[in-house]
Amino acid sequence: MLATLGRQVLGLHRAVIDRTAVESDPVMARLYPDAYEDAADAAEFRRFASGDIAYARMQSMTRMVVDLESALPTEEGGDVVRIEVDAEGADAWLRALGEVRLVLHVRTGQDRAELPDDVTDDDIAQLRDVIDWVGFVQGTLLEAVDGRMQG
Amino acid sequence: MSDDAQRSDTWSTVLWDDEVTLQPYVVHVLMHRFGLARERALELMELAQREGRAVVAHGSREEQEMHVAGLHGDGLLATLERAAS
Repeated sequence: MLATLGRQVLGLHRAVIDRTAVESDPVMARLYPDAYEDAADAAEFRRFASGDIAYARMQSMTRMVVDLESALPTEEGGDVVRIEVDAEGADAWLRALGEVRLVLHVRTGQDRAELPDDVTDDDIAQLRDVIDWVGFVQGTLLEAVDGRMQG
Repeated sequence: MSDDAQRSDTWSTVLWDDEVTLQPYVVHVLMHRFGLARERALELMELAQREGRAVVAHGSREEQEMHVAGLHGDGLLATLERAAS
């Protein structure tokens, strides 16, 4: 599930590098927001920076997807996997998890008319649960990396 | 770019409030990207939440563009603007 979502997000970044991204897509607007209030400055920033940003994001997301897809089943069975990451891996995971949440948040908040016809209310409710679950995973990883937040 | 923008050499990186991103993640990013102590990072995150925006760095335009690109890559909303004199 998470690996599949990650692969879909990879496609978005790939499109930025290939210059085929749909700029009017609200997901793209959230992942690659304006860096300047001025539209011309923002466009110029996008032109020179978005390729590098997309490349770095693909590295992080690829790390998470590969970790997930290469995880071996555990004795607990089912969907439970055990994945160990080092500090660099944890950083990539934190970014990748946050990105998946952003994409799902924007998609589930879009008008139904903008989504494919076969998307049902149940699908959207399910995606909202996924946002919460990914947030839980990211929060748990943050606690492990940074310690419990004070205040 | 306006003439004014070319004359000014101090720019600010502005972090914007964001309803989705987890607060501890914002603090994590600020600590690691700007080398801030946890208390300072927490303060800036709370300022952005309260005021809608917080200046998290300032300096040359090129430097702030790198910060903004980095923050975008981390999934945060950030812009740069000329620092108020």
